[in-house]
Amino acid sequence: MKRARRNAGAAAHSPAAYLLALAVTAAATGSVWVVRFAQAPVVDARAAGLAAVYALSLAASWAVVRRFAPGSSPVLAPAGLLLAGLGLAMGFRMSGSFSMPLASLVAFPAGVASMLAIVMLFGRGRAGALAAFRWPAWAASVAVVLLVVVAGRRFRGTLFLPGNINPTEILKPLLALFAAGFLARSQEGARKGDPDAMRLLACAALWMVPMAGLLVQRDLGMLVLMGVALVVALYAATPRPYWIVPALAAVPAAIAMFRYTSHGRRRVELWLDPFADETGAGWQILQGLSALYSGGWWGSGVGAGFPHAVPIAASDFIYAAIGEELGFVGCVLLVATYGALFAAGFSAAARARQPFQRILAATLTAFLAAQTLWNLGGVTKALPMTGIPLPFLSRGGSDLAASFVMLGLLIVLSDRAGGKTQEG
Amino acid sequence: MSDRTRIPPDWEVARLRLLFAGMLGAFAVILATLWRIQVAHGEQYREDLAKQSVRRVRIPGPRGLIFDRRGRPLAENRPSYGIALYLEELRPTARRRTTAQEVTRTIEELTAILGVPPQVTTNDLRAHIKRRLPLPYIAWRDLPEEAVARWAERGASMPGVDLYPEPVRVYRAGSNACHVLGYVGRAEIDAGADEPYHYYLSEMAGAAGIEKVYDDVLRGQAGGRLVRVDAAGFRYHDLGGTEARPGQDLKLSLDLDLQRAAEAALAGIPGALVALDPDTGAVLAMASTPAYDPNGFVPSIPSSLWTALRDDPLTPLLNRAAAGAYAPGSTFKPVVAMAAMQSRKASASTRHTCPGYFQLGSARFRCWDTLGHDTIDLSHAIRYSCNVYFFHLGLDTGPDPIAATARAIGLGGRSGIDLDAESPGIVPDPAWKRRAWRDTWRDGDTCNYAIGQGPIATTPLQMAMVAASIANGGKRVHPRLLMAVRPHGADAFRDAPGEAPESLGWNAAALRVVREGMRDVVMAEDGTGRRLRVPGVALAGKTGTAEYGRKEEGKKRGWMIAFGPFEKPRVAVAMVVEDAVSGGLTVAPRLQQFFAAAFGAGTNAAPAGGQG
Repeated sequence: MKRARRNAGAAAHSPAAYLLALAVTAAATGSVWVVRFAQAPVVDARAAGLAAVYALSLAASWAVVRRFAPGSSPVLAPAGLLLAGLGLAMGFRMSGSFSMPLASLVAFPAGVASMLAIVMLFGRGRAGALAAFRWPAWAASVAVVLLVVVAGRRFRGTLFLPGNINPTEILKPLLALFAAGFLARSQEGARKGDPDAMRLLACAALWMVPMAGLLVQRDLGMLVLMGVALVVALYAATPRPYWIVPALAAVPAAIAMFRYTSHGRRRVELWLDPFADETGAGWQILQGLSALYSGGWWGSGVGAGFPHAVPIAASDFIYAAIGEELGFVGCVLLVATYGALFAAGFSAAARARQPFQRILAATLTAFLAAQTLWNLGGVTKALPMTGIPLPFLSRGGSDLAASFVMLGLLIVLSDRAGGKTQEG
Repeated sequence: MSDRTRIPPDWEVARLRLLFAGMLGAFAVILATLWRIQVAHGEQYREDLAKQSVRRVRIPGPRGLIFDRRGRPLAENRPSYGIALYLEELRPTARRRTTAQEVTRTIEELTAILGVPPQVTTNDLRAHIKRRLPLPYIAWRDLPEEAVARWAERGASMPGVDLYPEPVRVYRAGSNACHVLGYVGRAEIDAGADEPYHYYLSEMAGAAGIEKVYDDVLRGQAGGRLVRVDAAGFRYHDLGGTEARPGQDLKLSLDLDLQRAAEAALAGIPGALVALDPDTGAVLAMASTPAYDPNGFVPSIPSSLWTALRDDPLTPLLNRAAAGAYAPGSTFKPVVAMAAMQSRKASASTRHTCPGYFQLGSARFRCWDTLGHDTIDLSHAIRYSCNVYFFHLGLDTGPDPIAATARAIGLGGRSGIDLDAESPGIVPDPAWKRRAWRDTWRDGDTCNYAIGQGPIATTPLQMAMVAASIANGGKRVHPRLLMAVRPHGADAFRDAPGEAPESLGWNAAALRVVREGMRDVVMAEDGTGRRLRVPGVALAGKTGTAEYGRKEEGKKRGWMIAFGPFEKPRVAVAMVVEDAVSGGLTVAPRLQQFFAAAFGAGTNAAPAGGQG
């Protein structure tokens, strides 16, 4: 039985998905490289270096996931790596002549390494042990926010640590871990059953401590994400409609945030009417739309568009660049990849045997999905743009690393073999 | 621990399914939006995007030139060279740097090459990056030649940097006619105009004088160029637009030779000189001292220069010729004489005796010559400028006919000359005195009035009109500086005539008396204006001296009006200088220089009668 399951897992973790990721990334990078070469016939060794780093990461991921989380979803790791590979290719494409953004080069291997470390430590059903880290995770999240508030400098309206590092990205896995652990406690041992009202409210209150720091930091995007994730965490924890409490609280909070803070109000005004300031702050949204618009069905081909026309195309507006260069078809495939990733995440939650695993998987998936939706909504002007990066794809070191940490957690949570193997 | 491997309750799975379904729905919405943008894009959407991706650039038409009546240039455009930075080409290749840092670095490099500090601030740069990134950023304007040469040698190969030619106004005659020409400044363009532009190339606007009055004509029509800067890159896709049309050239009635002669006649003393063509009212020369060099005002006036000129007690910025109004003194007497004869209160044979003073009640009004002038007729009274005779004449005539005659000639009101600053002057009468001073008119007022003293104030331009009316046989002239206009592309100037002179209905015999009296002022051995004489030409004139300032200072303004040649006058002049001994002693010799230049041997500077 055990052997069969492991074999099934091993079979599921065929290298095909990883090779697909490699092929997509190689095609994108190669396309950029060809365009570059046509413009200036210089052999770019960095493209080869990038390809090597990426291929190595793929191979390592395949081997580690196969070995340490054989029962895990075969979709999660390849999907994340495919997106990250495309992100690297686009980053390479966006970067000036032949330089690669250092942040991506460091953050990508670091993220993959963190993911694999999590898989190695908590694979094979040891995910439950993560619950023990709920209080350290909460303390760490508060510490990170404090650090940013005390030592941060403002850039584009938001506080960043020197070097424009935004360590608050790590709040996402940390708080998810805390909430899942805290809420699941009541469902274990003697007092089995739903968490009581006090516990739910306490969880929400504790969750909001770092959120208060984010308010000072004025990271509106992160605040929105945290609010959504909290609602999902409560929603997943109890059949009773306590999730409504933060959801209802979020409405006036969001209104206050977007209406009474200048930063937020500006975002909403720009969203409602970017043409009011078409050459100023609305320029970014409009150029993003313009890039999407020029993409058409099939796009211009990677490397052949003009994504530099979109300010900060490489980070928050990467999707506009992808839309321009890969077209509508490419965008649909991209969204489908995200869809597969989140489906795997929710599936992991649905199949989890334990409340902790279930709540954690649901919350993590909610974080990633909400982030993706909000970014895509912002770029397509369906939602106000609040400076949220696209998971895995956007250039931006700390976000990429945090996404991989969350991916690693999802992988170990999806490890079906887990419970059984541990129990032997 | 086996209790951990429980079967999840139905609600858990149901909820997660619901979440997932919600997420799928959201993705579907995103994809639908995307489809709308990328594939189905509505017409409105396309228009909106076209609107945001196209920049309208306003390009001014080259400013028209200004010439004197003989076609000599007074105001032209000179090419100047600035340095423009094309910021999108200066985008940093290294990620660590921002465009602003890259541009700042480039500007520093260029500063070292040019040896000239940049004329922009960090704030300018920031605003430019934010709003006008695809358009050239002018970091230097009007570079000296050596700097342009240094750039050509060492900087021309720098990427994203280019020479930026731009016309600058230059006044070829320096300070000559500066008060007439005025100057230009940077145009303030109304941002709320019907056709909003995203970017304006710098444009000149007339700030004073002819440049201001005829700004519409000179400025021409700005053109608009559409430039596309959409996702297809920060490139110029010139989408065409309306061509900029150059402004029209102006030919002024000024004669540069006479203008220079007029300024030479005023050298070193504050004053003004206006010379008119008596037949047309065309202004042949209009000088005011002290003057300034308007080239220092272009493209903008340094505040130190402006403060210095503004605070100068000699008011160099004031055009005394048209905007300065002063008591005309005895130069007003011909007007009084005409008023007396027109109202039949006097004739050529009217005689009065001058004992050197005039007793009016308890007050004694003095003649300037305390020895007196015996018994003289009107013509001699003009020749000697006898005050006592004119006291009698004034009292016989009364203030109202004097005021009416003065106003008919053009005193006491703006002449309507094509200049931006003109004083109307004051022509008093009893009604005026009641209104302005709340006092009744007395005979003493009439006595003062008759010799051009008291509240009366006239501009040199108005007194030149008096001279012109006497010279041209009794016609009121409408002085005008613009003579002809040449639209761009036209070969020849087209006349732009002003209002024709109108007859004043003066009695010819009466006018002859005044004219002959004025001729004798200059041509007779004992005329007060004999120092005006120029060999070979008969001139006529009238001197005047008027006190101004505080009485104890005893400051006097010297006046002279004159015209010539006597039989067929071609030039009518009024001149005033401050701080004079008298009109005859201070002004006549100076004005003589002007007439010598106008009628002197070989120069033939005076215009032919029919011109203009």
